Amino acid sequence: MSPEALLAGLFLYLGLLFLLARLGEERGGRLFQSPWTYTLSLGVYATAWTFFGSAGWAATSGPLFLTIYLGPTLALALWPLLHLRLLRLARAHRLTSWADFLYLRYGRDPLLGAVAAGFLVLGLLPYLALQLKAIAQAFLFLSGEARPLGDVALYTALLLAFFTILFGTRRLDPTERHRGLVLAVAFEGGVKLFAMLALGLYALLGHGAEPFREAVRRGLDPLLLPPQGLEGHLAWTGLTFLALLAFLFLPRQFHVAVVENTDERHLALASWAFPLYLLLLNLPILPLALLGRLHHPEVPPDLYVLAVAREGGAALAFLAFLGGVSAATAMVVVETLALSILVSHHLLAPLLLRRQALGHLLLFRRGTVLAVLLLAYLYFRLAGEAYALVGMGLISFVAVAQLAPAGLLGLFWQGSTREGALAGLFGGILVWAYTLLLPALVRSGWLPQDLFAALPSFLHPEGLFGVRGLDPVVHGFLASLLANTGLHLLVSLRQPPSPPPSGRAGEEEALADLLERFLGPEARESLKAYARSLKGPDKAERLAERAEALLAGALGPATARLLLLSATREVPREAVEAAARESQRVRAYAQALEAARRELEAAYRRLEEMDRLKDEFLATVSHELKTPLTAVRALAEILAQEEVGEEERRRFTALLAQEAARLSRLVEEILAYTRLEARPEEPPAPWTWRPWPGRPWPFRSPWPGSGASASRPGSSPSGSGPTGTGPSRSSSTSSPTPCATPEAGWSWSFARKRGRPASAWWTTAPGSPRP
Amino acid sequence: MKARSLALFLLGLLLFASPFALFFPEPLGPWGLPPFYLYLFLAWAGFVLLLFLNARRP
Repeated sequence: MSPEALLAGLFLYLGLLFLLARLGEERGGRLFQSPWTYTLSLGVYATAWTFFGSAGWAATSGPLFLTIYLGPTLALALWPLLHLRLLRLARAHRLTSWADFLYLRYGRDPLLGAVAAGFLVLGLLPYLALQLKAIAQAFLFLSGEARPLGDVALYTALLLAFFTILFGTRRLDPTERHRGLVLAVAFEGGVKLFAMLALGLYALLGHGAEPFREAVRRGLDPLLLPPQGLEGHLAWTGLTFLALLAFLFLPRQFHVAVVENTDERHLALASWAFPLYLLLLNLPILPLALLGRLHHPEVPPDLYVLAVAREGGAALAFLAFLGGVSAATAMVVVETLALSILVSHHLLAPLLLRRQALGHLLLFRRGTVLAVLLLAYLYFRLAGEAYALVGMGLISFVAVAQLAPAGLLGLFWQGSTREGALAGLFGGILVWAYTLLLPALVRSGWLPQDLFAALPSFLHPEGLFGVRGLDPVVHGFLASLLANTGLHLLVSLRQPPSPPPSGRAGEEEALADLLERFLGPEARESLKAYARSLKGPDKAERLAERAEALLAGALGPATARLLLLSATREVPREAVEAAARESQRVRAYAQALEAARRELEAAYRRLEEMDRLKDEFLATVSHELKTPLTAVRALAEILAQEEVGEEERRRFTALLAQEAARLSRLVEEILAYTRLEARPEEPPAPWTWRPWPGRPWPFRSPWPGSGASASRPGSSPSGSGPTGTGPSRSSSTSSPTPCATPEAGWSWSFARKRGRPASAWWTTAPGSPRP
Repeated sequence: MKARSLALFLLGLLLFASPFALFFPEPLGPWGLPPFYLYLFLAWAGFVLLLFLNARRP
């Protein structure tokens, strides 16, 4: 293809991206909210390394390339544990990167955030350079030019910087979603999958299973076999684990997966759709790699995909080129954006704050985008020739993985401390630089080749402690991660957990002014609305927390903290202690309440049981009383008749007296029983009892002042429970006074008056003698 | 959900990080395809299916 046509195609494609992002920014709302867009934008994981580098790696080292995609597949199996938690945390604290998380988790230490940010930029430069190299290499190969045309890479880098600045740094607050940018990235995710599948289809239709047989005939069967031996197995599992960590900790992955997420339910779809995406993307790699190796042995392995595509004609070759370009540009744009936010939050903003120039932060962030891309271009020009695409990418992966111990232990282990995180991070970085960066510099010719010749064998950077035969990247990864995690655990365990940073409280007006100065009037309104919804004594502190979160989203947590220090005052220590004491008292009170509730419940049960027993007792007593009463009533009726003779009358009267005595005995027994039962300390419960149907009869006290009460007709006789003992009662009950009711109504009562014990008596006939 | 995810992760480790050299000594297998790659992609597809089912059940 002619270089002019290719260049025109490249810039047309980039122009299409600009157009798409512009349209997406204006009216891409629904599309942007779709879970499929989210999943495709996660595809930013697959870069030019995947598109061009994987085939080269497969053609030289066999199936190891698959580990890079199995790692994320495994990581996504853990999404309810990991991603969801991270997403909620990020939303609550407005996190924009792992460095923000480390800063907040480890006692708001600006050093930790700055180290993480600086190291990530350094560690990711090779990865960015790789993308530029891939575009330049592909362009050179297809256009047939021989001269080192790094200029294409430069133009592309400048265009991508412009794109990132235009769609990624429109506003200061990076936690606001970048609709256009995400839509463009998702579109690129679709383009590279389509291109790769088209290439795979071409290989399948054109050659079938022939490349595999041909490879075996030519003695290339190690490429088709699993990794051999312990070294092979270690390399396989080590790289899988490395990819898992990289997928979690790469700044661009955090950006698309967490910052640009609009709905946490999108994760459910992405958890299976993204592994499927990776699977489809990898299906054609091996046939393409074998075809390239068999048909084009003269071409560098990174270009096998293009070489095979060129066999299928110019259109297919251009499609392959576009696929690679889309993979590279999406990665460059998102990674640069994420890195610029990282740098401006943890390195630039604290610096600008000290120079009173925070107002220019957005300008500086744009400058950072350009600077990072130019640095990547520089790295590519200076060191890009020495390594294949994959080699450069893997060194970056190991660098990114150094955040993993501090990040994951910080998430899941309470005991991890700031000093532990710092020690681990520094240790890991040192080992990474010694085992991977240094050899890379030697290989690029920046350092003398015989640098390591004088070292004893156990200190060799690619074989610490005399390890032999391990892949240098796997060796560096295992050594640095071991040092990092080991130091982190060791230092954390030797230290008491750091105390939580002191709370801060601020006046509503001062905080609102601060927010308006940096974030505009909307932020002021938002804070005011939040203040109105707040109640309670810790309102000022919660308000300060909210203001800090809002500021942290835009300026980085370190700067937000510094700004807040100016507008707030520390919550006095005594207040904190008083609050702690108060809460302790409240807790003790609540415990006491709970115990009382349990006691009350038991007492209620006992009471219910006693109530039931009382009912039973009353039923029995009334039954026993009824028999003599019936006899008394019958006798009284007989006596009321005129024709009864004198002798009979005497006999009946005697009988009457006998029955009455029986009744009296019964009542006596009940009273004796209740005396036994009664406990004088308990007040009697009032009760009402009407054992006989009919209207009650007005009683008269048998003895003046004996305490018996008389109830008027129409009201029921009432009294208190039989409690206490007293001579008056025993005397009254020993000689009951019968009274008669004209309507043959019978009543009896345990009465109590003025606190004196009650007496029981009964009535029968009118005109009975009284004692 | 969390327990299921953890179980899936462990299953994934078993599927994708076993010492494969012990199981796949031949470079060519059914339909002239390398059996190791055939296994990996089939296991991967099965794993994606399990992830799909896991995401659908609340």
